[in-house]
Amino acid sequence: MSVPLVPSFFESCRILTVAIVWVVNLIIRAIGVVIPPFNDLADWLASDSVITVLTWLVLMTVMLVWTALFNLLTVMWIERKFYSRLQDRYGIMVSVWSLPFWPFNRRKDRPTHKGWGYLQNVADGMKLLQKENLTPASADAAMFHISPVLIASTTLLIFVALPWSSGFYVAKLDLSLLFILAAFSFAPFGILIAGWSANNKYTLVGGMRAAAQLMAYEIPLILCVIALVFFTGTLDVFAIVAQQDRHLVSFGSLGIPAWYVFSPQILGFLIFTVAMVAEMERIPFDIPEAEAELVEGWTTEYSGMRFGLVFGFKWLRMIAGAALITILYLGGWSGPVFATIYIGGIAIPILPEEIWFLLKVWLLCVVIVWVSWSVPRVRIDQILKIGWRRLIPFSLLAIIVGAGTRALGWY
Amino acid sequence: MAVDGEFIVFLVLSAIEVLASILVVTNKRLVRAAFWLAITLVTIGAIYLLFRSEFLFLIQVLVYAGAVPVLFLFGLMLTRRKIMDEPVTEGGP
Repeated sequence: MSVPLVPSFFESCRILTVAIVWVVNLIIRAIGVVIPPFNDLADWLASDSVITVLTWLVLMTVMLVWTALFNLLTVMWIERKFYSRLQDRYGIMVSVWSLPFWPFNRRKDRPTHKGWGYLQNVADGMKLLQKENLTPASADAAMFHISPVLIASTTLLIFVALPWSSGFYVAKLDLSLLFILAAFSFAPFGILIAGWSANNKYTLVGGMRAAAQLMAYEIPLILCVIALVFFTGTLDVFAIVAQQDRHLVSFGSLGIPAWYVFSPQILGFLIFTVAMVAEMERIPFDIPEAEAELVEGWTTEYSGMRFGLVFGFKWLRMIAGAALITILYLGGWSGPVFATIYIGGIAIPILPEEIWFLLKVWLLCVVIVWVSWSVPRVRIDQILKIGWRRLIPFSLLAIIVGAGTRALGWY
Repeated sequence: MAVDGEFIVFLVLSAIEVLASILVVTNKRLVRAAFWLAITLVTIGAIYLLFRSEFLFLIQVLVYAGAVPVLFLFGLMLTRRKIMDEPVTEGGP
């Protein structure tokens, strides 16, 4: 019922590309005054097929900056600030006011760190970039260095198919949900290689635990998706969101939205969320990197920006997981009941789709952070017990309920 | 002679696949063999994609590239790293 802010991401990027090529061609034609063959280069750059190829490059760059810079920094900031406030302290405070060029920062009696702390993660990243990249003495160096690449690239692969609104996406696939799950399932492989190749007992134990946990929790995840597909009848995330973009019960212009969480799929929603938190390796299930037992789990031996990569991309997986929960069960980018005002039968959206989607994803991240800083860690045997003896039977029950209500036509 | 783009992609993918599958059986380090096995399975999936069978590609990636090498590695984690190296040496840093 809302409209997207970016109606067509490709067209927007095409306009940006044309603008960039126009500026570059000004320079090239200025050179072409002196050296005439450069004019042909300018014509070639402005031709249609070259513009299309360049648009794909620009599109991927914009998506990378949007997900891996803006969203990653924001969610990291949300986590660090929010758990600090839960623990009744200020938390991170390095912000734009901490930069050295402000005149009031010269005074020693004034605190310079007094902002909201958004730039703390940028500062940490700059510090990590300057660190030396160490390889353990008897590590399997090739495997040790390839696993951060595997983890980072497959995590970014998720965002090829993951849409941010009905217009803001890289690729529109018929089987996008399956593609996202397939890209999600790559990471345990990289984690295992990382844990084994560092030749350290902590990384080895962390990798073993990660293997046991991720394998156990991927099964209920997929089973819940199967239960949902009985309702949706499609694996296209755009179609799944479009099905939820209506009212279940209407009271005039207000009503309860027909999100799948308000259907018999509530069971699937709960199991999917728990399994997704386990896939993110967050605290109730963070046994692969339990700080009190294993130094930093399977990431112990990484240093410098490689550590930053494997550590920071856990938040990117958290964003992807929260976005997947939002799309499947919480209505995706369709606004809640008060999103649209009808004036004379014309629907007027208050906020565009991207804002709703980001609000839902970030709120879900806040809930996950809240849970993970409030509860203790569960033991490895309890993790396997929850995974195999609780979640899998309940997700099978969710399949039966979903198929049954669908077959009897109750929903 | 017209250059068929898909045919070139098919040749490149097959070359990677054959090379990786030879490395699976000749590599002495078992984890590297498992890694090359994953590469082999992904390139087979990419060849399915060339034949326009998207679903088969995704299932291949989900099951054979996502789960089977992890199962292999799960078993290999119990081995020592230098188990295939000659001569057998003990200890380390």
